[in-house]
Amino acid sequence: MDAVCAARFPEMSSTNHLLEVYASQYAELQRYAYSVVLSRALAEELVQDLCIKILSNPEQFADARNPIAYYKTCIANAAMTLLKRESKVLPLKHENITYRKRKEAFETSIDMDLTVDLERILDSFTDEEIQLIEWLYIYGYKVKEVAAIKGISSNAVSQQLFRVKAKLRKELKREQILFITLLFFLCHQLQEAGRLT
Amino acid sequence: MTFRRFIKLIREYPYLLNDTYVRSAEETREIFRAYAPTLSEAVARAKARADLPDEAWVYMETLAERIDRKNRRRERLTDCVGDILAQLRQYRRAVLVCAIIAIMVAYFTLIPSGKTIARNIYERVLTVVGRSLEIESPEYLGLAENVIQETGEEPFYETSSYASVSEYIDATNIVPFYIDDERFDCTGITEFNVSDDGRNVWINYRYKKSVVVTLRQEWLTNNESIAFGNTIHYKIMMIGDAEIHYLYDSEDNSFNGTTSLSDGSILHIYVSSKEHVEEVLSIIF
Repeated sequence: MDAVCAARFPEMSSTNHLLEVYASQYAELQRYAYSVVLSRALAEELVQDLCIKILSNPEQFADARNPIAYYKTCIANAAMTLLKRESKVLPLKHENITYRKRKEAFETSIDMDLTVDLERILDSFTDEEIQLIEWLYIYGYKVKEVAAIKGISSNAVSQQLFRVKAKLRKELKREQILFITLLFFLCHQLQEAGRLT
Repeated sequence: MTFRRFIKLIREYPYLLNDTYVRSAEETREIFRAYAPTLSEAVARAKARADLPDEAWVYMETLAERIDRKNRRRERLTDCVGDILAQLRQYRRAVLVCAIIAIMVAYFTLIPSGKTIARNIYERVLTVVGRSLEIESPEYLGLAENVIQETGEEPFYETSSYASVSEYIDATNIVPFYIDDERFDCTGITEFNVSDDGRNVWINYRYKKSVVVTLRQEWLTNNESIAFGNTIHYKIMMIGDAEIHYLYDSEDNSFNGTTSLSDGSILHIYVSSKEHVEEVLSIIF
């Protein structure tokens, strides 16, 4: 399909690739836009703006190593800029930006059988680590691409990721120990209660 | 919880990660499913909002049309297959079990290596339990009881020995199939009379002093008949009107043949030496 289009428009080959990625990932980008703003109209606008940007300023995207991840970053940044700009005109309530507090979201949406306190674990991560997780697992950048954007070596990014995993493991272990201790304590209390009666 | 599970959760609930996100992945999927502008619509709206020349949009419009057409096709297909897939998803476990069984059956029946394995297993099972199964089958176990029930008599087993054919005929008034030739020395006659199997007579001869010839004549009870399986072991020869099913024992080259006689009895012929078989048979028939 793309080859047919490219044959019809040979002079646009540099922009073509960006447009093709945009077109093929349109649904994914739309869904992503819905996840960053509450208003549907605004989300659709953000995705349309991205298309205009690609056509009007393709040089901006020329260096994008991972176009899809870059598009998502653009949408997220545009959403934040838009919300900030609007807040200057009409002061936004706190919940407009942080629509749901994490705890509230955690309590209402996540399965109740999930015993691990994700929120506390995430709080233990630094902003840099949170950003790394976002880039790698939400935007979809590769380790090498993150390293290139940050201007550091791939090893450094890998080490950072390793630290994140180690921290997560440590937190989970603490959770388990706490749970087991609590369990022992409860059992002990029950035994005591049984003796007394 | 593993790191993989953690990432899955983060992807599903990105707002846990930071304040950029306001919806869960499922919520966004629901919104998208409910209504989302097609790519062509999005391009048209963007075109209206932007002040770019029309030429800049041509490629994007063509691309959008093609993508939308493809999506529409996919949607149609999804609608058709969707119900079936939903059903399959509902009975996932049953489908999985059926698929495994179907694959196994196909492997053991269609693929040569599978066929070989299946045959080996079948033979092994027959070797190990085949005989006992046969013996223990209700048909065999109930046979003696049936005889008792039908005849009202206890099963019996009688053996009698005679020195010559004439002695046997005098004693029983039965004329068995025997060889009336001077070259054959009758060495003994034994008669077995069994309630289940009926009467059978063994007449042993010595031919040219070294060759042992035995004729065993059977009168089967209850109108039983004898049948030969269509196996490679048995060969057939015709001598006069007699059709003889025979084989040579691979260990001692002895001849074992069977034929039916006009009075309904069965005659088994044993000749210990292969070289004298034709000679003996030509004398017998």
